[in-house]
Amino acid sequence: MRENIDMSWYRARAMQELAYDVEVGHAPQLEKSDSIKSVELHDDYKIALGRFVELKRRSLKLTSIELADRTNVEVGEILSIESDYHHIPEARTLYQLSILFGVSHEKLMELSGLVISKDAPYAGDAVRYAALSKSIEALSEDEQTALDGLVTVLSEG
Amino acid sequence: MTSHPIELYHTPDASFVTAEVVPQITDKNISDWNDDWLPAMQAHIDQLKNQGVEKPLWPQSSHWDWSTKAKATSQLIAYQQFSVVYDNMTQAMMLVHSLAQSKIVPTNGQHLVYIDYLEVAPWNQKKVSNGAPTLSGLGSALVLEAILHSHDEGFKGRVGLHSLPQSNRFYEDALGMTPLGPDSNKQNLIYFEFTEDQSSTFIDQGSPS
Repeated sequence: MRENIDMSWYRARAMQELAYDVEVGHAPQLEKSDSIKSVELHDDYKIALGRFVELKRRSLKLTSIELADRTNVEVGEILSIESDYHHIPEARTLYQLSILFGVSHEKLMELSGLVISKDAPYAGDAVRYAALSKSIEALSEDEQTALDGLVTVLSEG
Repeated sequence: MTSHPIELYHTPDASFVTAEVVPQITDKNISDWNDDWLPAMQAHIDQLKNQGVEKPLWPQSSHWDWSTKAKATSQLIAYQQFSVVYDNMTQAMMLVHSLAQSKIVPTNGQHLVYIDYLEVAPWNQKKVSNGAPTLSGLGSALVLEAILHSHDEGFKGRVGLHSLPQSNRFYEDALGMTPLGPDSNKQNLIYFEFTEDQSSTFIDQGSPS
């Protein structure tokens, strides 16, 4: 398909675009800070939370619907946590997940951004473990290693 | 997926220049963002502060942290990063993923490529550059990449995004995407979607239908 696009396409579009702004993404959370670098530090934590929930669900051989049933939350909430790192989960959902998964409720709350922790050294580890995993049907050996690491850093004590 | 040349309009000398689209965000891109984008944006914000402009009217993308985004998503297979380089300087960056679903009947529920973030350098932003962006065409070129990525993923050109308020007209009027209204889950930003037919029209024509 790319071969059908020549430079005249880019030229026409460039002239048309002169009159517009084009930015896509999140609007500022103005209440948090005046600094232009400090607002979105928790994006990577939220990605780690989504990856953890997905890996743990798959390790338990549960579908999203089954996990929603087991935790008594909406299936849309489960899908959003796993697939949309901007989604802000409900506190009750995180509590239910922490019980089923056997990890710390407080740490899941901090990863989700619902609670701001002054010092969450485990969060960096959680992000690294989450980044090790990739989305395929069955847990690979590497993904199992990543999940084991996530469970360790998200467990009490 | 490989790097390839594109043409952009270079306003200062009213000519077209060749830039390169790269399917990743590299350490060099992040250095450019840190060393050049942020100071330029901060200078603009300082100017607005001195003029007494209220914070809600500051550039809406000024708080984005590309370093964190790039690091957090670089190894996730569902995410794809893009950058545009001209004159050895990063001119735009985009982050997309393939985890979202269409919200338009009859394809609702089917996967699409979602543009998570798209930002051009401050000197290429119309509002920051007082209406005279250095380069034009970056937004269209990157949306095209998202469409082509959608085809590569088997999503037939379906693309979704939440536009910042100052950019709504671009996605509706200039590109011809369908606005589906404010999304309460996304700070009430308006959600736009390219259907399969609309993205084909965008590619086939120099202007929307």
